[in-house]
Amino acid sequence: MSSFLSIARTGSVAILLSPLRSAVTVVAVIAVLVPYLVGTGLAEGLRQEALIAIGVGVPEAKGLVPDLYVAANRFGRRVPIPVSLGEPIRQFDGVTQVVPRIVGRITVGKKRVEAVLVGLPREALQRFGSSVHRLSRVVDGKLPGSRRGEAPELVIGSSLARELNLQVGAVIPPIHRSGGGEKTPRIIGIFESDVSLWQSRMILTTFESAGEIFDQDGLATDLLVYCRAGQPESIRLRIMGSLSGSSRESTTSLQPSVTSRSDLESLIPAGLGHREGVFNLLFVAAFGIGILVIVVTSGFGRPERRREIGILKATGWQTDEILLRSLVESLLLGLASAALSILLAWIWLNGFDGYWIAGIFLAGVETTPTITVPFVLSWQQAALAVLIACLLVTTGSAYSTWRTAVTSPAEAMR
Amino acid sequence: MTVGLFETEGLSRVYHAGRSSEVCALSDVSLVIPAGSYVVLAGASGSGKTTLLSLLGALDRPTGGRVRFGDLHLEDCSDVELARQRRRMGFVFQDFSLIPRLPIWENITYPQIPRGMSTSDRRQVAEDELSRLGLVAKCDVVPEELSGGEQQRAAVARALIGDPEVVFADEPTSNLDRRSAAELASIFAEINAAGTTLVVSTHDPDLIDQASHVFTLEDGRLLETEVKS
Repeated sequence: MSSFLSIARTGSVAILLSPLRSAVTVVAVIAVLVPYLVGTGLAEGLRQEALIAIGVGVPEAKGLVPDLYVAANRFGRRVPIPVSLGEPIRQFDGVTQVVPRIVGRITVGKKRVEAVLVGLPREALQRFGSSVHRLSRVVDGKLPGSRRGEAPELVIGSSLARELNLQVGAVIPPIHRSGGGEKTPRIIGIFESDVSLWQSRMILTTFESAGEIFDQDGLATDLLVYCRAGQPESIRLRIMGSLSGSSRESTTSLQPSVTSRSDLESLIPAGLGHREGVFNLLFVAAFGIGILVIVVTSGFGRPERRREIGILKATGWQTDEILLRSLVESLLLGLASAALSILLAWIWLNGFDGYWIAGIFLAGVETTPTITVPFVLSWQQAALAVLIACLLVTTGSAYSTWRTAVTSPAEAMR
Repeated sequence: MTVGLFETEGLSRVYHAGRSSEVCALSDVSLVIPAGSYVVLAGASGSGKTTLLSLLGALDRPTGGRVRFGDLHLEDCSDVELARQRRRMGFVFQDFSLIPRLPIWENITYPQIPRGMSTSDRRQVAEDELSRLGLVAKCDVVPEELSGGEQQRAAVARALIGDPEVVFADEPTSNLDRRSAAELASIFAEINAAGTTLVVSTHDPDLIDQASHVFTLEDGRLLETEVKS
């Protein structure tokens, strides 16, 4: 046992005996592993962020996140839904609340920054504002309360405020010219947008102001339906039945679309999984190349190493003892590479917001993200990184070591 | 009939057999090396001295003939058995063959690691051996910082540290200056006087003078055997 441990210890010393080879091997593993960790960290962060956005695993969100999202389609495309369609839904047994919502894209400021304007009824905004739900925590100012015909009051995310250099009380150039004439919106609050990806470019206002900004009176993007526990599925069927009927009778012939929270839960992994799958496919190719790279880099100092093994054999070391020494060396190099990779991946994600790789997972995000991207580096990913690193180094160096170890000492030393 | 520590019979070694680059390095060599003798393998470069040394020292396998070490026929041994037999031997190579960047005390006791010797014991043994060879001050120095003569003395220390029955040395003075070569010759004489069999391949006249047996090789064949009184 003591000789086993002594031989194993020489594996750690061997790392320092071939510093160039060790350094090149570690760099090769890091080059393969860090992008992988950044990618999977982003994918997991986005998945969790998306689940939080629909209230999964957030006890504070109970009663704040809708159970059903009712929208309208025409010619198979999403179109605005009349707010009046919310009235019959509100009468259904088990429905506690129906909230119309407007979600639309606008450009703001001289830089023409694209943002998402969300309009909600004043009472719904108050409900969000008074909650501790982390998706809508206002850090400065107050919630919007502008009515029809008044200048729109806006609450913007802190990252957007920073980008446009806006503060509470600032006015921004007219962002619309609706039938009611030009309106100059005023910033009345800033919310903490860094906590959630989805709010990084969000502007919040009242439903009436949003309707005026987009010049869509009486229309909403969707209707948020809140139900009593256990009833969303039956209410969904009732909505589908009643709205389909009314649509057939109406001249607008809208087709209702009702999405439940469980639908969203199942859609999130599928949507992210597609991008993650593409990323994993790319990584499998990188993994294969990585092994080849390590096989090649293990050639750094190969004559010296071959000679070293020859000396060991000439002085009485046996093949299995040499292989044990090499295995320990590979495992330690793998561990060191994995630890460095995890650290660098964390710096990449935390310090550089997943520079370049974030764009693969987030549509519209440039090479250098201007938002704080969500990420999760879990212990499972760390364990996987260690496994991959050890596998890479061991498979990359095992063959050449074995070949030398079974050669006669005279040949190896030649 | 003499019974030696080593005995070879029709020993041959052909490199790249069957190919156009085939080289017959050793051909039909039969000799006996008695225990406790001081043997020199003499001959010009390419005469087969190093090949014969490698076959006697279990560093290589013959392509023909037999080589006996004690009671064992080395050509029949498995790789594991050959490695075990090499632990009964010590080697001094022409280019010293110390492991770069490894301190001298570690270098010379490296062969003892698989034998389970503790680090403190290895250090102690190394200091004893290096002080015998006048090198104890260089215990913690790496080979790159030693002169050629010092490196060769360290290599001798490594060869002696396991109390071998036989020490092989391949052209041990060819990379040394005259003074270092003379020092090494004197160390070899001491080793042999202590009862250890010594097999040295060399052209060095000082080493040849000290030998009890001189086997002269030419073109891979044993040309002459000289046994001194």
